[in-house]
Order: sequence, then C-alpha cells, then structure tokens
Amino acid sequence: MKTPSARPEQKSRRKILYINPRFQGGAALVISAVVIVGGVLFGWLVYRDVGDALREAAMRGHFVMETPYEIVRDALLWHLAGLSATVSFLTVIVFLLLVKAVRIGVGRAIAAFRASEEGDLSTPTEARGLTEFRRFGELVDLARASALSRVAALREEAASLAACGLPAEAFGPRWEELKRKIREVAP
Amino acid sequence: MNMPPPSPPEALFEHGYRLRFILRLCLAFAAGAAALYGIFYLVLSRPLTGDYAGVFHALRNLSVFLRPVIAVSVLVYVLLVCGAIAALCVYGLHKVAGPLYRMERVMEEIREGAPTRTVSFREGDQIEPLARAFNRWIGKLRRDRQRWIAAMEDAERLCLQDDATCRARMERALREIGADMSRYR
Repeated sequence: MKTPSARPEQKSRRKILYINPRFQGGAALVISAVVIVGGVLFGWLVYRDVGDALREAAMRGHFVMETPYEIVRDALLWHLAGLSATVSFLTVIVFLLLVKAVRIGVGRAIAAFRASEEGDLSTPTEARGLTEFRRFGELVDLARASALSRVAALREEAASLAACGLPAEAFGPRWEELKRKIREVAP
Repeated sequence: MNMPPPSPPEALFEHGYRLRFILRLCLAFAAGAAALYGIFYLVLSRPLTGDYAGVFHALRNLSVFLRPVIAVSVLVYVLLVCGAIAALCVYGLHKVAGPLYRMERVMEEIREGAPTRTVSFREGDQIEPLARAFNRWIGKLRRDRQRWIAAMEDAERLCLQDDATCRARMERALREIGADMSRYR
C-alpha cells in the first residue's frame, strides 16, 4: 500500500530546469552556432560536389546506375562523416572550455571560502572566466565583507566595553547586548 | 594575505558527468546526420527509368532542384540538432546552474544580514566542493561564536564571587574575545 504523502502540495511543484539563461542559454547558443556553420558548410560542399557528380553523369551518359543515389553516394557519405566529425569535435572542445571556465570560476570561489575559514575576509575572490562566475565572485566578496563588518563591529564593541570603566548598572545591559549580537553570528 | 591555491583538490564534477554530456551531444549529432542522410536517400533513390533522354532530363532536373533540397535538409538538420542541444544544455547544465543559483541566494541573504545557514545541494548536482567549502567556513564561524559565548559565560560564573573579581574577569574575557576576533581581517 502506498503511504499518502505528508505534503501533497509538493506533488504539483514544477522542477525549474532553465535557471540561468546566460549560462545554459549561452552554451546552447555557442554550440548551435557551431552546428549552423557546419550545416551551411556541408550544404555548400554537397551542392558543389553532388551537383557536379549529377551533371557529369548526365553529360557522360553512363547510366549503369539505377538511382541517382548510387552516383552521389560516396560524396554524400564522406560529407556527412566530415560534418559529424567536425561538429562533434568542435562541440566537445566548446564543452571542455566551458568545463574549464566553471572549474576556474568555482575554484576561485572555493579558494575564497578557504581563505575565509582562515580569517581572511577581505582578499578579493577575483573569479575569472565567464561573466556568471565573475558576478558570483563579487557576491561572495560582498557576503564576506558583510561578515567582516559584523565581526569588526563586535570587536570594537568588546574593546570599548573592556576599556570603558562603566558602572555595573550600565555595564550589564551592554554586556548582555554584546552577547546577544555574538549569538547572531552564524546561528 | 595570499589566497590558498585556486585549484581545488576535490573533483568539481561527478565521475562520468562530462562523458555522459559528450556522449549525448554525439548522439544528437548522429541522429541529425541520420535524418540528413534519410532525406537525401529519399530524394535521390528514385529509380532512373526510361530512355537516354528521360534519364538525362531526370539527372539535369535533379541537379537544378538540388539547391532547395539541400537547403531544406540542412534546415531540418540544424533545427533537429539545435533543439536537441538546447534541451541537453538546459537539462545537463542545470546541475551546475542550479547549485550556483542556490549559492547566489545564500550569498545575498548573508549580505542582507539574514541568519547564516549551511547549504546542501540536490542529488546529482555538480560543483559540490563549493558547498562543502562554504559550509566549512560557516562551521568555523559557528565554532568561533560558541567559543566567544563560552568565554563570556565563564566570566559570568565568577559573578557569584565578589563584584571586583567578576568585573575583572568580564573585562579579561572581552579582551580575549577582541583578540580572537582580530584574526578576521
């Protein structure tokens, strides 16, 4: 027996696949451009070679072939193989370049988080490569800067409280307030 | 301060993810080439019948109509393959774009001052080491926060003794916390 779902509203949730038009759409556009150029080149070459083969066959009058396909088969198959090989090769290169760009961009962000772990929240991420990763690097830097400003404010408050020499009545509330603010750091 | 080396030791992509993507691309090209071949075969496989003049005219006409035939078949190929590529890029790359989007949201939340939380990716998502590196940073911040709070609570315990000792201990705790915080820069 099937267990009824505790959260039936989840059933109707659509999975969004097209999340980042610049990244996913950009990759699709670049690869499609390769395909279009390959297709146009193929069309031109086939028109030239197959057309020549058909005209030549018509002029020579060698009609031992039963269909025009037999006249152009070799040229057509060679061009098809060339199209598939060229487009596949170029597309794989485009994909591997994309993977490399992801690796560089994400690698810089990972390095920034590692540096943050060591306390360095100010050295810029400097993510290179695709615009998406540069933008993401900037977001990482802004988040780190925000964390740094929080910690810096707490440090100043702690230092001023340690040195202020306030009477106990004024010191107590500030101590509690500082404790509350510290609790808000990565709760 | 210098950043740690940018190259991550952990693999950003799941084993086989790239190979699967490349194989699917090649499959799309093969399907496109098969469609292209099919169209040419259909057009060119009509038998050449009749006498010399009939065959001559059939071949001449075929060479004249070759241009629209090629244009249509290439158009079909391009539409078919580009459609498959678009689907593949949307479906295949959302395993990278999705986690990136999730991380962007978390970064924006931190910037806006929302409580910091760890990130977890969905099953099958790539660039997992990014989430792990982020979570380690958040984990370190949490441990620091716990240490600072523990130092303050330790000082508070001494308040059961006389006021001067309590105050001195509290001020010492504050200085220690300040010194500890100063490693963040």
